[in-house]
Amino acid sequence: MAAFFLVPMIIRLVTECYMTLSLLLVDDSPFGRKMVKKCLPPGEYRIREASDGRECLELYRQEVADLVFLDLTMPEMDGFETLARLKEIHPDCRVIIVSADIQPAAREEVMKLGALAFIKKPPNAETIKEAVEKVQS
Amino acid sequence: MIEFTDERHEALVELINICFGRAMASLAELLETHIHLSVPVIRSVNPEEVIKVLTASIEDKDEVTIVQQAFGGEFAGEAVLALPGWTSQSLVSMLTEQSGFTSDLEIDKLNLEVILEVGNIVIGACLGQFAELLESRISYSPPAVFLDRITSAGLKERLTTREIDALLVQTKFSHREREVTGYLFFFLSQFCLEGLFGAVDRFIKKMS
Amino acid sequence: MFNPPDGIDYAQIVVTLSQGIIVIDREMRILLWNYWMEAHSRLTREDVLGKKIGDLFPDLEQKGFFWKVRSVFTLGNFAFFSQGLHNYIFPLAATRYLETSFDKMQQNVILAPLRNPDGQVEYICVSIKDDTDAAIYKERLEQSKQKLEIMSRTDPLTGLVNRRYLFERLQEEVSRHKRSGNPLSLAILDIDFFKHVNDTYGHICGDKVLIQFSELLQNQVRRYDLVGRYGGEEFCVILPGAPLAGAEKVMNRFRGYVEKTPCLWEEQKIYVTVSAGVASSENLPDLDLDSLLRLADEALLEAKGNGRNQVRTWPLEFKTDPVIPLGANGLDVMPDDGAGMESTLV
Repeated sequence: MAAFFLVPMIIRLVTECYMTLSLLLVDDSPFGRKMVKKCLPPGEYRIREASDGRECLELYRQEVADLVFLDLTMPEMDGFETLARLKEIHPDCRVIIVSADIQPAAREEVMKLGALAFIKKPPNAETIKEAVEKVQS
Repeated sequence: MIEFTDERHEALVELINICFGRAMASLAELLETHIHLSVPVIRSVNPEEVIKVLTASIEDKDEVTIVQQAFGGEFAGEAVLALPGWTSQSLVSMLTEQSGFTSDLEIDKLNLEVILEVGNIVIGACLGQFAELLESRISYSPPAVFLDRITSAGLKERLTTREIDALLVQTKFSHREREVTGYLFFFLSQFCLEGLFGAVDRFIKKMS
Repeated sequence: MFNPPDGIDYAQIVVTLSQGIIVIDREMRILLWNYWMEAHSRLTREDVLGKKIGDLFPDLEQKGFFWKVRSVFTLGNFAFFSQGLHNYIFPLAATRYLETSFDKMQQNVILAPLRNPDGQVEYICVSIKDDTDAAIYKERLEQSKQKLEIMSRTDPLTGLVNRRYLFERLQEEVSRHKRSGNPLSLAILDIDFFKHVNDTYGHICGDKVLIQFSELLQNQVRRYDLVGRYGGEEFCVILPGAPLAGAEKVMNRFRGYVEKTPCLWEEQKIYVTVSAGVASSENLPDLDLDSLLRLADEALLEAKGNGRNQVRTWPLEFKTDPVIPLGANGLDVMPDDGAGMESTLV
């Protein structure tokens, strides 16, 4: 009898978990985080925000995110260091870099550190969509 | 005191960050070397503070050369690049050795030309990106050496500003291998802010 | 987007502008060449359209033209070639014939980006402004300035430097001496009984005597000594790097020449003599301008009081051989007495 109710509930929970993507937006600029939010493709998201590297690591330790959007130019702990540390905590951590610093050297460096994609600022819906889809596959 | 709404201020800060990031990239492409612009400081300044800001940044250097360039259009103002005196040779090398800069000028004129050119491209790179992002046009006056090889004390003596507040954007410009550093300042006077706010509002709208 | 008002033909305006307009693409090919360019380059539109600008003007490369073009395509800003630094970028003939020392047109050249509707820089507009008139005025101004500077420090009669400039240079030499430790000597000379010459033969003769005296003095001193007119018949010589002995020798030799060299005036030979006082940094550990002058003056007074036609030094006991015989040609080439050659005096 109990199973009759439990099974659909479990199915619903499981599909919800799959549908809701947990995101962590990291940028010292509130406007920068806003821009990423506005460009996300339609869907269910659980969004947390961090304004510096330390906060990002703290939040990630508390709860793993499906996808991290990370800015490079931040004070105290920049994006490169944050990325490296994230990978220490969780080697499979999925990170997309969103940055104004588009020099090839920066790009190479973050790819080497294990980022999955590099998006030029200001982001637009297309590039964010591509990156999210790429990561989900 | 120049007033911003929070939304405008956030957007402007982010905009300027993006500009400087792109400016670095375009300068790197042009000069075939890596140029670094530090995270810009953006704030409102009154005339006394302008002098303080300019002299504070050169306190530890013996002499500086100041290149100034006025710009106009939807927003207008003045850009200033302060370069320490001892960098002239490094700048000449930076331009000629790596990026194919040629000139048939003799040494005195060449040093002046190089300083003006570095001023022109660094200032132009930042303003150019700013104009592109805001879909606006900027026109430039030729750069001029405002003060050649002046000490901090001399600068205090010679500087006069208008009696209005300005918006200051300040960054440190550096080239590690050649040990070139300088300070870059953009001043937008209060009178031009309408144009700036208009452009920023457009940008905010576009992003939402 | 900036749209031309109805009925106004922008093309005509560009073509008739009184400055050169060239538009080039990323391959450096010429897409627009206005009338001004045709007139001043003697190349027509048919000659140039579609051609590479570097082929038509081979010197552009060494003037850094293409580097600046690249910077405008890359950064989207403006680039400038100022007349003051470059004189001209395009070798076009100067249009003026009279009152110009320039045979090539002096130019201010500006490169401006032209963007397509997407905002990308697609072409560059090169504008050339004839700045020859301004360049001529600048040149003239510079010449006037230099003339004025020279006038303000020259004594008009003798052509020697004047008192004001003497003091300026003396102060500089004192500072230099303090930094380097090299000796510095100063001589003050006064023509004996000059008033008598004026009273007997007239002031015009007096002037001639002064002029000849000045010439003689100029010829006698070393290349880097400075001779100036200190007063009516008073003169001053700054000898950088010269010790007292050397300075005294030079002045004594000069004194000898003056004694033997008459001034010719209306078929008469007029002889004058000169008294001089010499002081040096050697005996003054804490040298300053005033004390050096004062002591040279004291030595001069001693010379006057002691019979004139002589050179006295400070300290007053210092003595060297009073007369040096002339060489066979009447003019002796002096040995270099000075050690330091720091100063280059006019």
